[in-house]
Amino acid sequence: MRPMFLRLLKPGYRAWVMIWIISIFVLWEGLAWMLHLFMSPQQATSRLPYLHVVMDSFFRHWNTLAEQSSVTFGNAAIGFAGGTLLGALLALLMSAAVWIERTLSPYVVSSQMVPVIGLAPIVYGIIHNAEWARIVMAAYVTFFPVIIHTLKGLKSASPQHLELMRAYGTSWRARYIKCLLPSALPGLFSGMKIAAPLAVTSSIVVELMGAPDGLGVLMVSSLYYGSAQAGMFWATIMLSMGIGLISYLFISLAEHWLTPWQPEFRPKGGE
Amino acid sequence: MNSPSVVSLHPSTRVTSEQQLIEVDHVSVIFGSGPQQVTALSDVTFHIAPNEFVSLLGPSGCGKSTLLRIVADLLQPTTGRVRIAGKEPKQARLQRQFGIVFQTPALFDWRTVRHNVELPLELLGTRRKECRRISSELLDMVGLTRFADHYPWQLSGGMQQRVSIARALALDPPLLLMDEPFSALDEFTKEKLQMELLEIKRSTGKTFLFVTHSIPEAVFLSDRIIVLSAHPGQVHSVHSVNLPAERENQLRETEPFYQMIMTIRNCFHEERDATHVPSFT
Repeated sequence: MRPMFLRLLKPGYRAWVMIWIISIFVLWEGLAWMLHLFMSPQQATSRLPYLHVVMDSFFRHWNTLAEQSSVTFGNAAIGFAGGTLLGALLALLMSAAVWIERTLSPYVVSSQMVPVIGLAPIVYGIIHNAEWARIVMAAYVTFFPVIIHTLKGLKSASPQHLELMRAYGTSWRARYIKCLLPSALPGLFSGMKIAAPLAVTSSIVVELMGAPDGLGVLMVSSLYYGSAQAGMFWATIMLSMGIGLISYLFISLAEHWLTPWQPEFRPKGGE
Repeated sequence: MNSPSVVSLHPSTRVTSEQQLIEVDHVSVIFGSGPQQVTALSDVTFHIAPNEFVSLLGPSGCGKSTLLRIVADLLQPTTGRVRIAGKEPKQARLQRQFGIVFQTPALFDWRTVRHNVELPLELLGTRRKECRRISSELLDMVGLTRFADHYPWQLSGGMQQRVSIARALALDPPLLLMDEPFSALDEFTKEKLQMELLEIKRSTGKTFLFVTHSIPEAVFLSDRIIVLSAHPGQVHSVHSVNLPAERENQLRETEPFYQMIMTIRNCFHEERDATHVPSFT
């Protein structure tokens, strides 16, 4: 069995996907048309532009959009990778002894109490480098879900497995490699799936605070021009959604490839 | 069973002269402290000779699994002494003197059947070729050669437990510790696996310490049955099973088999009648 979203490409699903896309298009255009009945074109467009207008700016400004979003995505990806690494290492450290977990977890939890929107200017103010500020913020939102889920995964190793390892007189290194790490992988991936879209969003938040480039900058500038650029603004929103979605799907694929033994990936009829 | 045979070993099972493979002497286990203190095992003593199949039989909560875990060095007794082939349990564990089979197969889902069997060998740093040779041999023994490259979750419960038994045999230990290995299986699979286990015993000459709560299972498999009573867990009685060494499925329908089951059953009733207190709290 392949991941859910790949099944959507199968012949049986294609029709449904088409119906889904068409109905969204019709609904959107209908709503926009109704707004245009009651309001001036400017007012209506700034509330909900026609979808074809959004699509038009999307394709017309494709080069700019692609360029800027690749900056955003690149920084988010680096931060995400760093945050994942940091989170996984911290989870490993915390799994080693209860006192380490008890010492670290208050800091880990309280770090997440700071709102991203408040932290972004602080980080930007300290680092004074748009690239690094984005990377740090992406890492910052990534490491928490990764820690929590990886730790849960590490603890999910079955007691029988651990007793077997003990019966074999296994070294701690072999215990981690043969038993604990494979048990933790599904957890690591659920953490990463939650974190991936967040990393993109937080990177955009930094750009809204005044970075020289990136998708967030396009958002701010197109907002500045109001209804004239409404199509562009919606295009950037949809693109950031798309990037978040793609990063999620990418992690799902990797998960599927690296942990094929998980119950939800097992082929049907394998009882 | 009459009392003399209760104490002495069955003659056919006595292989080496005086050497006992497992010696459990005056073992007590107390969990917790203060008012919550629970005596799980109280002054348990028994010996097992090489090549013997001995069952620990008793109701839930009688501490039979606890006893097995003590022999396996997964738990320390509060008092008492345990020796396996004359060594401390820890030493025996580090020298891989025993294999363990749990109630759940406890296979690693990310490893194929073959790699599950090879795990203990891998951990010892055995050469790949040697690993392969041994796992092929064992998989053949449990009749799973065809499934070597399958994953555990692709197999039935009975097949999974076979893999688990093969894994326990991988290091060729003299002793097999089994903790209710068949209790989660259906009746048909259970009988089949019991037969296979006896066949493994016959062909390998290993010693078995087998925990179960099923009287027919204990009678069918064992040379000796140690009946434990609960609260606190202690040895109620020890019974030699005087049934033919070669056991076929038809044995289950014979008079001596029923007789033996009745004898053991009476142990439990006797206990209940004597105390007039329900044995569960």
